Amino acid sequence: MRRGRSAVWLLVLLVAVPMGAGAQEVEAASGEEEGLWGKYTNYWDKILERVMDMDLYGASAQLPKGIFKFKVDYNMRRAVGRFDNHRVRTDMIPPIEFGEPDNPLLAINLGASGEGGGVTMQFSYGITDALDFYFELPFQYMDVQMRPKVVAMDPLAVAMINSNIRQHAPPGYPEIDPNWFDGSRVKERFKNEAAAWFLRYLPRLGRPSMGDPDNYPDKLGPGKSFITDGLVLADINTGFSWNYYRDKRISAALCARVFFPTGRIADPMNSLMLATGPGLDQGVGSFGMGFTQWYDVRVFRYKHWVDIIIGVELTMAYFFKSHRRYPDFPEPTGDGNALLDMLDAERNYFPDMHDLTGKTFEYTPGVGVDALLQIGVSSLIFDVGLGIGYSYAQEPEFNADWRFEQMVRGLEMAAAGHYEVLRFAAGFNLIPFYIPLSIHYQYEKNIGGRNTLIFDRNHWITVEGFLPTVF
Amino acid sequence: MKKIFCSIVILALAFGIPAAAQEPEPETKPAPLTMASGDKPFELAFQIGASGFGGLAIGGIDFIGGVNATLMYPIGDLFYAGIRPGLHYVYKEDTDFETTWFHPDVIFQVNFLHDPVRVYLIAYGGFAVALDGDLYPGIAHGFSAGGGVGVSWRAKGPWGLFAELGFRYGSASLEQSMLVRDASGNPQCVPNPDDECLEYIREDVTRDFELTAFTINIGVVYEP
Repeated sequence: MRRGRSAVWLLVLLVAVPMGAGAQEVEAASGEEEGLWGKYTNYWDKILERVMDMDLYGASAQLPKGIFKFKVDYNMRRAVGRFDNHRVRTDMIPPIEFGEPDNPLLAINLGASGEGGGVTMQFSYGITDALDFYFELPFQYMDVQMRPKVVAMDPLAVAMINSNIRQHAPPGYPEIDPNWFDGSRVKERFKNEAAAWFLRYLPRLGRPSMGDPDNYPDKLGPGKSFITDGLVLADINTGFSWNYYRDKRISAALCARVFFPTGRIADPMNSLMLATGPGLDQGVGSFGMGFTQWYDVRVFRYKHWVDIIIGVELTMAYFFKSHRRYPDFPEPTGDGNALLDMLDAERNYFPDMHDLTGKTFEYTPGVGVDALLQIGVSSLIFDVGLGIGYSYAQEPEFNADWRFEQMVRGLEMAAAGHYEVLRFAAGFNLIPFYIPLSIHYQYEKNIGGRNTLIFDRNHWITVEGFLPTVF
Repeated sequence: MKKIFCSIVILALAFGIPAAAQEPEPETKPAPLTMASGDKPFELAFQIGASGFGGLAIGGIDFIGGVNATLMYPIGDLFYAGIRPGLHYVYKEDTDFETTWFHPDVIFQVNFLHDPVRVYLIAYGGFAVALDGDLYPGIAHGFSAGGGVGVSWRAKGPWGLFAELGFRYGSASLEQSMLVRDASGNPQCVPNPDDECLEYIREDVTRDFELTAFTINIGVVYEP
């Protein structure tokens, strides 16, 4: 709806402007076509002639002086898993197991799943032919669920937990029903009951609850959901891009940008990174700066109709340190501690951190580096491209209590990671029809990675509109 | 990002070639196109500046500093209208946190003199956000507005310098869930009949951010 309205506005402006001052000049210049459509096409022909002389090609090309561009980017994606530390595909959050991997005393799957996407609006302007200024407003939406499930519990553990509850917990505290299990595996029809018991018991182990154990949809089970209220703002960024070298074959450009921490970070009581809920950061939470370097090599040019270009794009972003809040950790109870002595004697996953409640820690996001190699073919109306991309994210730095840091690192949600994608892009533009819009489609497929989420249905649609402000 | 320009060029060439075939080559480069009034190219003016002030302690602010970028559109010779995204870091001595303000302002200028020296009155304002730069819980939404007087000087060519003296007022607030603490600063447990502390009391509070400051803004101007 919003995109459609923008396009209409653009057209109205484009039609209206030549009717005024610019059109009078055009008409006076020569015996060109008259009438509204004639004035409009003459106006565009003159602009295109000027652009033609600049011989622009590749991603390194900047907006010509005086051209304003409006871009809307729509992306949708679904998280379907994760590449673990050994590049093996697993669940979004690795299952937590206590005891022997083959016969665990307790195995929990945190049951994270979700989908989301974003709309990015970018406004850019050609200050000079080689220098652009841009301003980007990114918005996101997401629907993420965390529905933990007890996968397995050893009968010995069940007996011991119930014994601990009878000894230490308040009278009447619900015990585990041995009938929920078939051996050590949880029966399918009792998976919600077992999960509800675990969520209710979690604060007794010193961790905040991950959902209401009494009220939940039967289909999903107990847990939490994180659904944004429509589109929410992510980190605004702005900067300059400069095409500092260009000849007929090679072109290079540099973009420098700053990021503003306008996107919310997840509530620590509902954070996927801290395994306290499905909440995801919508921003980084601190100021940042980034650079992109483009290189384009025009390997083939057939007259003025077809270009084959190999492009390389290198991007780096650095964000400054910020403070974040610890979750509210309750103090483990007597029965909780007795259970933890059996399951997690070293307290790797369940250290007692109640003294950290209300305090903060320092967090410095890791440096992110992206590289993209793409080959593209452009013709009169259509263009296609095929690329391979690599993205690396350095491990964030925690200046936090060692127990907390150990727990977060144990969850493997804040580890250094990378992923590789294949990218296919195709598009067409409507300028041959004197409509200054282009529409592009892009699809990305995860082909590998380490410590990173896997997305499918990763589609992008981009609409760009151009408005010359020089007549 | 700018793949489209490759296509634009090709398309431009596609349109340009037949036209060139029909018309004789111009002997000289055509003069730049101008507005109907014929006296000034119709282009945006651009400014980038650094602003700051310190020591005046108005509104408890000990120091303010930031950057801004301006895109202005000339409306006749007398007025400029445009946008000015800006960022200000604010240090207050009497609070525990520092604040950063981001204000994508709309601006309006009235020019009294013109080339090479332009003297103007400026008004700016609009939506603004404030960030607690120390502990980031999200952004506080609000507004800011102000005005000032400035002078811009351009010798030869499009580049020049400008300086402004301005005043800005801003207000923003943020809903935040915070722990309830006792007099010693300890978090308070949700009362439990079994006297166990499994959850802490939280309350939603509104944090208000205020900005009242003079600024001196100095930078470069590009007016083609």
